[in-house]
Amino acid sequence: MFRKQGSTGSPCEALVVWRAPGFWRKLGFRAGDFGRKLASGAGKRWRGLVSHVGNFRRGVANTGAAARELAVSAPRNLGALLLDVFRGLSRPATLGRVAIDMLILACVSLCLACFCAMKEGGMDLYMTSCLPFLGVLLVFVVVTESLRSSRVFLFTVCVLILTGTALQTLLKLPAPANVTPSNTGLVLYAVVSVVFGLLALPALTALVRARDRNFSIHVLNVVVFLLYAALLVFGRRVNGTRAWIYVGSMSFQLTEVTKFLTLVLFGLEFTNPDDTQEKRLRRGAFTLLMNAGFLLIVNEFGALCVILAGFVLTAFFYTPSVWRVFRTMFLLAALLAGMLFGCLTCYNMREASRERDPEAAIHPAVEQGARIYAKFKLRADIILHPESVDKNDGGFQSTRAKNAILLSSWLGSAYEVYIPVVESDYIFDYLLLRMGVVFGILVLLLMLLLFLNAALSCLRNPDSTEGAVGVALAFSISFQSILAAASAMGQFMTVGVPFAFLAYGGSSTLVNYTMVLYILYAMRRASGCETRRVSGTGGRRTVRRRTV
Amino acid sequence: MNRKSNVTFHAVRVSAVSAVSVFLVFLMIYNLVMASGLIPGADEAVDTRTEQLKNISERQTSVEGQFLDRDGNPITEPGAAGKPARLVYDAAYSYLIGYNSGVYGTSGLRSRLYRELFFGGADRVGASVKLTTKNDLQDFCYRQVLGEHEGSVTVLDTRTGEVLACTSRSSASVEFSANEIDTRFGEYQNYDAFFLNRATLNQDPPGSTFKIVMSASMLENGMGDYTYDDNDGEFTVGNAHIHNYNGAVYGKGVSMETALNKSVNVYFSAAALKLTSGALENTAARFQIGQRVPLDFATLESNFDLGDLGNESLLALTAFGQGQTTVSPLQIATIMGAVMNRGVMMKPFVVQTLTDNGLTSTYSSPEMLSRALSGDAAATLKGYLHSTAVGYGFTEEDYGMVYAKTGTADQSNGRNHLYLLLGLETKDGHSYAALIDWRNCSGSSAALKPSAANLLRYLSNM
Repeated sequence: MFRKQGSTGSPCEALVVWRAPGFWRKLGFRAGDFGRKLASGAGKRWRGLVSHVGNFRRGVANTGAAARELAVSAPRNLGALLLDVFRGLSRPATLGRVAIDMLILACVSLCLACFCAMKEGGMDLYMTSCLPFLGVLLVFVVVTESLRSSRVFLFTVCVLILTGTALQTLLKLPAPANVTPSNTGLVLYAVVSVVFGLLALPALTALVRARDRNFSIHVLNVVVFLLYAALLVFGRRVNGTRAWIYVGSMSFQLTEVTKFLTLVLFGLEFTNPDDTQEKRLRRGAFTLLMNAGFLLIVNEFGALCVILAGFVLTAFFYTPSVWRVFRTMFLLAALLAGMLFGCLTCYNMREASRERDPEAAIHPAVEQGARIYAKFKLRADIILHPESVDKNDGGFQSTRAKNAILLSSWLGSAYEVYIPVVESDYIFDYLLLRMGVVFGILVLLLMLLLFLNAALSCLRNPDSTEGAVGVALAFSISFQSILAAASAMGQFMTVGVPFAFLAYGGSSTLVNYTMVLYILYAMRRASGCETRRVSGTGGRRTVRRRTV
Repeated sequence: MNRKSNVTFHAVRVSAVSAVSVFLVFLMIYNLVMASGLIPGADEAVDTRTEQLKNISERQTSVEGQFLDRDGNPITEPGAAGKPARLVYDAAYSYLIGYNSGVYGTSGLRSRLYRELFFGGADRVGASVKLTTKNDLQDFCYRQVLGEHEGSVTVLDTRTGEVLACTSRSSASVEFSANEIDTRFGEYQNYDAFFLNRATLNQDPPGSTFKIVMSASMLENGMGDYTYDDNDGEFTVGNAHIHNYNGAVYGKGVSMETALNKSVNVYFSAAALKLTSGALENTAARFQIGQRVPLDFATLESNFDLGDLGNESLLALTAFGQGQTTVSPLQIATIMGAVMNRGVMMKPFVVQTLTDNGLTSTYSSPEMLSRALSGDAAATLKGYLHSTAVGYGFTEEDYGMVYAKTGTADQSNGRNHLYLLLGLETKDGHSYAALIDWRNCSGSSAALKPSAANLLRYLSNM
């Protein structure tokens, strides 16, 4: 600092320099400069810190506000929904349409009862459970007609539900000796599911229509994460999959709920007005990968397929840039291929270790990877090389199910064939056997119609988020069912997804009915003006909606 | 992006996804229709598999039809749908009725009458099958006549060809139980040719029982008075050195009757050279030897080969039941039946009627196979066989008119195959032919005489 030009910097020279004139003045100036810089830097950092704290406090305040808004808007939405329904019902035309719809559904029930009559006691059992089911369907009809939603969608769903009831009735006959066949469980699931759906609908709409979109997304992400965590801790392995949680004697397939919430997430993420296209895709991909990771750990491939397909569809529909969509898909495909390759490596490592020493301990991560690959390989072999699969490993199930298809006819046959897991995984084969290929084709076409109608209607919804969620949910119902049918017919790997409305399952019914109610809500049509409660403002805002 | 372009952009994407969805669903529907086999001829493998499955399914939902004996007594007791019926006389009938297993399939009559028994039709119950056998006789033949010997016992009605008993055993140590086929199949497989019905499927040299055919041929060709001077009990022709049993010598002027009574091998060998192979072949053909005759429960098969023209050694060996001739025990019994029935050979049958849905139809009825020999020749031969039977101790006073001929054939393992061929005319006018055959025995066919006596006694009191 004090070195003069030409100086060597020796201590002797330093002893001489500090006595030079102006030294202390310069020293003072330099010290002052340093002090000013230090204070300025500290000040900046302090202000930055205060700013972050402020942001955090604002974030917390916003979160709190968003949470309060959500908590308040859910019952308000329920009230608004009930108001819309009652308003709709107060019109005589609506009541008339409800009556006609119920009459049509009753006729469909009677037609299906003829199939049930082919087994002794079938007609009685079906008609007994038909009445409560018609009560459940009345809820759908009332919601549809009062909200002026899509009748095509309504009838598609109702016909499928009644067909499922008929099939489950036939499955229970002939009953073993001293056992009275009953559809009580089925009816109970339906009633509980529709009540749950009605209660969940306002909460769902509150989440979808919340002003702070990011908050809704975070809430859903946290809920999904917590559900998966619960599954990892408390989940029970059933048939190689740890997707069930038992509470007492009741079981819940949590992956059905996570699948449902994830599809809602996709709808929210891909229509988030605060994000760019790139960020939407990244968020969606993150959600997908989080789900994929957990689902691979619990060995639930079916839900993974549905979520993956839902992501692809939602991204394709709601990302204007096709190039970005394909780039994202390509990257995800490469990632999934990499994961599969990793699992193959784990499988080879495990097999090599077992060959060297059958008693050797294998790392849990390697074991999990090997298990995933082994399951995938078995499912692929059942399709590609059925003769090489040990009948005890599942090739038996697939072969038996295909035998049922061979013994079917155009309108069903009376051949008795043992079909394993017939009430859920292979219900479509039973449908073909008992009701015929004509009905099988009809069911597939109904599923296609369900998706197309929902997609067209939801995409016309002025609120793109509601429409996006509706499309995603409708697609999942349709895709999952067609996937189940393809698996049952041996045209695709067995992935263990239930056929919506036909298969027996409490969790599946709960989620499907909630989806149906939301889709009907998303497809609603308002005539003229609609008074809509806007969350958080405490006031009302009249919104002029275009009739669609 | 404004609202209008949003709608346009969505419409294009929705159209694309809809088109793909529709295509995929219709592709699925096409595959479904093809895989279901509903369009006949579209896929041969599917059609074949469908037919198999339909058969299996119908079988699994039908009750197996019941077997009844000639008197209407049950041979099998039907089980539940899809389950095999149980044999009442398990070991006695196992070879004739056969087994019914979901794993190992069917055999015997169950295999031959598969569609009638296992496809119940509208009432889901298979047809009832009435046989010509008699339960008590069948069981008697198995337990008292065959006993613990490997072999068979066959009893025919010579006038109609009805099989009154046909029982078999493949192992002296293990009984065949069709009721336990699923649990004991592995055990049965340890025994050579265990599931072979010895009565209908065994092909062995007939031994001295063939002398009946030879005698018939001689009678038909004017050699009924032929005599032979047996000086040393041996006869050599070509490279064949033929001798009598135990080297016995029967002296000069051995007649046909004596030759049959004493089973003189050299007599028939010498006679064959005079008879010529053509005449013997002709007679054998009339006895259906060397022919293939389908029956309702088996196929009569035999082999008759005299080699090249001029092969005298083979001819000489064949004449007394050795050489390359092989017949089944059932066919030997049928030959005896022809002799008993004035030279008319009746076609053996077991299945009388089928009853399904209350309707009864005749399955088999008496049918003439051939005129094996003339009535006069048959009567002469019968006389000779009667004197043979008397020589065995089967007197008329004790049993009625009995006709008999023993036979012993050498087996490749050094043991003997013993035959005792019987004919019986009872006082009430019935006419039976029976063959008892024991395999893998030491000694001579004289060992069969006590069992034969039991059988004759039973038949005469039936």
